[in-house]
Amino acid sequence: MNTQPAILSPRLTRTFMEHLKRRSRATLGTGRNVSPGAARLERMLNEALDAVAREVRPKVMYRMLPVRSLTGKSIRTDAGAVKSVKLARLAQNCRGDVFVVFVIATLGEAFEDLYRRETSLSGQFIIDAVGSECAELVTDGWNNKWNSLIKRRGHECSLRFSPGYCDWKLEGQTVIFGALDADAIGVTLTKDYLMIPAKSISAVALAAKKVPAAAPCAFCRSRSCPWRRMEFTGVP
Amino acid sequence: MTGTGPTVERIKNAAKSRDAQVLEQCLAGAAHEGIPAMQVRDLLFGELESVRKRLMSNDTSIPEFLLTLDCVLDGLDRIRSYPGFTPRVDCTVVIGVVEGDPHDLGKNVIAGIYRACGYRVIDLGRNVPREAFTKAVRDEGAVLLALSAMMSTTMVVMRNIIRDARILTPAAKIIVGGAPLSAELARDYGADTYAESALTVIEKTEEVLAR
Ligand code: SF4
Repeated sequence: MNTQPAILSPRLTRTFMEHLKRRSRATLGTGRNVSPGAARLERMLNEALDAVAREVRPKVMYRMLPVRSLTGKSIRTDAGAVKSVKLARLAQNCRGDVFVVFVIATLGEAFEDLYRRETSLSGQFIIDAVGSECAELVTDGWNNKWNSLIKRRGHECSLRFSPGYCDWKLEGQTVIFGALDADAIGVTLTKDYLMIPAKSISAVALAAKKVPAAAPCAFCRSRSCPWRRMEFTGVP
Repeated sequence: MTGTGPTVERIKNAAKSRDAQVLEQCLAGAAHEGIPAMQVRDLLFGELESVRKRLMSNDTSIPEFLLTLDCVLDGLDRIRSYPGFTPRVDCTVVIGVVEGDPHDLGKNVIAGIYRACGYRVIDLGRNVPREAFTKAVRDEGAVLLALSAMMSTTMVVMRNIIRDARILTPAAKIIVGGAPLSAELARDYGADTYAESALTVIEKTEEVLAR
């Protein structure tokens, strides 16, 4: 399978923007039209969405690398090791050759400009929430596209897994940034492993002939974990 | 002297409906009619307090609270130059996001709340170098240093700033906040208090300043 990096420029279509509006409303807790500021907040949300549609051009960069070795603690690739016991366990349960897909998605500097231009606190809060949801949706969109692509090649893919969540330390960012030349999409990593622009998402996913579960939560007994993906509560 | 009548009612309603434009017109009317600036100040603050309490009991949303906060800040900016206006408190607070952390929304909200409550706020912004905090506290005669960190990787920087402040500006109280922190961590780091949310920051501040 191709291991060269690829860059996508997903379009913010009407359907995407409608979905983004629904998700942003849910996050903000607005849109019920019962509060004194409801009409104003709805107007501000629409303005924020319009500005995002007009000015933001998201980019997604990804690359798949074969797993070189697998221990109970980490998944080694040519770009470095993904040090997560939970994800390594999922990889150990995959069938056939296992691959790691590295991905970085970003809303770019244009979104940061939008945030900086906003002077009111309510406006900043709204645009920030829209940006977070937008970055998630862009990455979800890539995940879906990737899943169907890999399926056509007779493989399966897990959900994405990000540094700083579950048992994967934020330092894990260096492996993703080692696999991808993120400069090409305008994303840099600070010495504290934070991404600039802030509305960026980095992650890995596993691909193999057979991936036994979409997330490592299927093999995990940590029931009170705040990140548990709800659909995988069963422990085999 | 306190004013009553239609203008006072209109100010109340404008604040309640979070309408900064209507509020602006009402405040111009208030100045004309000689309604005391302090009465307007207390009216605005009263509305902010009522929405804060509603948010604490989950009776309204954060954007709704922020809309009120924007409206109150706007109103206060307008009446600041009116004769007889004095802020509710006579304290300076230095606030900033520690170095390495690009998130400033939480800090902006806290700074807004301090302003609305009458504090003089020296906002150092985000990604602030360690030395800038103690320098600002000293130069501005601040009684309070408010630090925010949103990432676990940057919150350790806080510990160093607190250490500096204890040596260089020992009289200033220190309040910390941000997602990765807790009351225990704040204590371990040597802060005087920890604000778990923007809604309790003033109570915590008043508590610590009264000690
Ligand atoms: S339940 Fe939590 S700890 Fe367990 S694998 Fe899922 S995210 Fe990780």
